[in-house]
Amino acid sequence: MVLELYLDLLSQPCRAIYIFAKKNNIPFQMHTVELRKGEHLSDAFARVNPMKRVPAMMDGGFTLCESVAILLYLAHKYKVPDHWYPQDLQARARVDEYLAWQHTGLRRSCLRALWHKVMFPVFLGEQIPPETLAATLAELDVNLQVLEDKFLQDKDFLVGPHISLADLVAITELMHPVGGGCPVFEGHPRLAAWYQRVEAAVGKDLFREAHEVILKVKDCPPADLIIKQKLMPRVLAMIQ
Amino acid sequence: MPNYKLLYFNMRGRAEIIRYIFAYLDIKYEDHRIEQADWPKIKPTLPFGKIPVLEVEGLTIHQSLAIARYLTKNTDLAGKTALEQCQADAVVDTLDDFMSLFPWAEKDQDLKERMFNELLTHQAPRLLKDLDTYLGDKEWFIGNYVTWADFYWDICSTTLLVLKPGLLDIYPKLVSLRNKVQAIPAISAWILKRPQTKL
Repeated sequence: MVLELYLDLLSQPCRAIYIFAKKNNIPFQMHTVELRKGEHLSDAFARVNPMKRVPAMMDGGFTLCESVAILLYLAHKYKVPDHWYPQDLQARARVDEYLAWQHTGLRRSCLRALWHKVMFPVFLGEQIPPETLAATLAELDVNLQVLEDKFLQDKDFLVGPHISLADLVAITELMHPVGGGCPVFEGHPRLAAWYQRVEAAVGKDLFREAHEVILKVKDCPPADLIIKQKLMPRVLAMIQ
Repeated sequence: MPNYKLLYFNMRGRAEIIRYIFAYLDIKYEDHRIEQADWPKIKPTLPFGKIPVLEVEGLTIHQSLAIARYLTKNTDLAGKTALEQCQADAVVDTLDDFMSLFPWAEKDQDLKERMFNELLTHQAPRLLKDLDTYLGDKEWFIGNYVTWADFYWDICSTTLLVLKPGLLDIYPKLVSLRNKVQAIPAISAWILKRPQTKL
């Protein structure tokens, strides 16, 4: 009975799960679900995740989706080192606090930044008005400031002296605008230093492997018309 | 109409403002592009040993902006009044001040890279913010008609975007101005026709 992970490393939550599983030597079988080919919308994949989104997990007969739920499941099942998701109530609450904010704050900004900068113009061939791009990047910068001032402060990592799930989820999110060519760390020196620490904690090789796809996203060929028609409704809903 | 021959390297660089003006005013000229290998032979024959130069009526005129002013004199491209001409010149000189800070010919590659990075990361945002403020809600830099100042912005910003993609992302009005220049039929035709070079 093997753990099966359904991922596309183009997706930031998929990257977090991939890094977490690899870093903690959790054995798994990888199933790549190509988002840019619309494979997540297939009926075959719906049997794994009726919501038709990656990441998704199958453990024996048990299926689970939503990246945070999967990360917590893996952390508990495989009894990973405590610093990832501490037993201590208040330390754990700090991770939870970050994960809660991330989904309503940083996620939206980072996703829109990548889509407005690259995925719409390059992949889908749709022009974004300059005013829209400017507004998206302004919002991203506000959220970067919150991340730096409210969550990181002067600590080495987001919730204290050690890496946790919060850092992993945050860094994989930030690599979205980085891949889109946004100067994420300019004007945010503490974030830049934190990035170096997270990369070192994860391991440079694993970090680069996980982010290879997103760092080359600008080079991806345009979607053909059929795929574009399949993807467009979901995409428009996602980035409103 | 005199015969014009423009001499420069095979790149946009300092000659492109002249080429835009020729295109917009629909003036025929020879766009003579010098090979790098031939440059040492040609350099000593030119006033001040620099290009671009414009050969016209037996004279060899140097300085790209002087040539541009000569070609636009008595046309609306220069500005419609003496004061508006001065404003157009001021915008051009502002842009040129910045572009001239780059050590294009620096042979120490590490030093060059550091200086370029400093200019693009710290100096450029200040210039862009000031340009954005200056443009305000006007359609063109000088008000309600295009001048060579708008051309020069398109040319300089094209180079800056090669050096640092995304530099204009938070300046939508400056992006829109670029788009408006590039949508002018004569300029659009030139952009499609011109040799594709990095700088």
